[in-house]
Amino acid sequence: MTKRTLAPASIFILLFVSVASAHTGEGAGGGFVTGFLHPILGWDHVAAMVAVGLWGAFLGPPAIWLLPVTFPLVMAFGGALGVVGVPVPGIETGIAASALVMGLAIATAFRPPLTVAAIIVAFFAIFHGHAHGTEMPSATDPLAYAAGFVVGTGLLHLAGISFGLLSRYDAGVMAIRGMGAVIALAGLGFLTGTL
Amino acid sequence: MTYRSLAPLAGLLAVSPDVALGHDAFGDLGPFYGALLHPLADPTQGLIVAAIAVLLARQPIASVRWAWIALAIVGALTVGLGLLVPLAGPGLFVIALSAAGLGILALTGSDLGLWPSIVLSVGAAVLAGLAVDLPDGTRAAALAAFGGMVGISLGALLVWGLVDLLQTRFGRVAGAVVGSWIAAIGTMAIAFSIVAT
Repeated sequence: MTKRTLAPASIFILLFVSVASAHTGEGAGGGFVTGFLHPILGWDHVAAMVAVGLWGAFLGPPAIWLLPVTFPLVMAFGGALGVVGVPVPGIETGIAASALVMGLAIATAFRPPLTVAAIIVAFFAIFHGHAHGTEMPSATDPLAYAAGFVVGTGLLHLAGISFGLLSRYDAGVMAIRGMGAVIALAGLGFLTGTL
Repeated sequence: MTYRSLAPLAGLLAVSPDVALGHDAFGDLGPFYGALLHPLADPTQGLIVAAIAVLLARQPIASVRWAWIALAIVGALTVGLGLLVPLAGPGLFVIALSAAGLGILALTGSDLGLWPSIVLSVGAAVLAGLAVDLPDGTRAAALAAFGGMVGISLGALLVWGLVDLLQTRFGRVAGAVVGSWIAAIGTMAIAFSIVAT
């Protein structure tokens, strides 16, 4: 092995060792990271969050920002219910249905009045928020956990909006509707338990 | 630096990770930097600083200039008062309620005017100042107090700048989105503070 190949390998090992040892998951950082990863590591959450942004962008202004603003606010309400222990029936079903319904709305180019779209998004946000909120009290740092999952959720919305901006082009509209169909199928899979 | 000189150095660091993990770079100024970075380490202080910064980012620059000066002065005075008199830190409920309120105000994006902006900044500065932990020992406490003063004003300035930049690039809606995030975090924290007590 030459020094030329040794250098990148050494740097890689150096980075690997440092990262593995530095983050023990304790303290505020652990709470934030745990909350941040909660919506991102759950495919049902990912599908629904991306669908919110995608649908908002597909519907155009003002839905492009109203839906991503509505979602975290109502999600926080659902999360508060979860924190204080108020039971909400069918949490997992609601989360799976959110991907199915919003995926179908995108795939079929369904354009309801803005209020109706906001109500649909808000309704499903309660289920997502409750799922996050239930785990909040047991987090390393509950406040950092809440910040993490709100930011994580928001970034997934932004990912959906970014993709949804392709709706400016004819081919982009087809791509978005295709992605909506994929999200709807995933939602169906979550709902039936096949995914 | 060439590969030739980098390879032995990287190899040495790779087999001795303790060198990298020690992180005693702060040395004698540890209390200063600890307090300076406190908004990043303490979510309650970070939340209230971020909340007022986002609100100010939604206000006209003419209001922001005076409100930020008021925030810096009152934050410094509050931290300084903590050097003289032991002060109790703000409870999570108060911080959460304040952050949720500031987040909702930021979400609306309405122009509050100069004096309401200043009053809200002063209130946030007091809460942020009370959240600074001052260690025992005169020198350490003085260093931490100075770091806390800088941390509050600098933290608010940085977040304000970031949100202002986002609004310049993506429109004022970017500030509304961040405001909704602050309101959401505050709401969740209110619920938790109720359960925790």
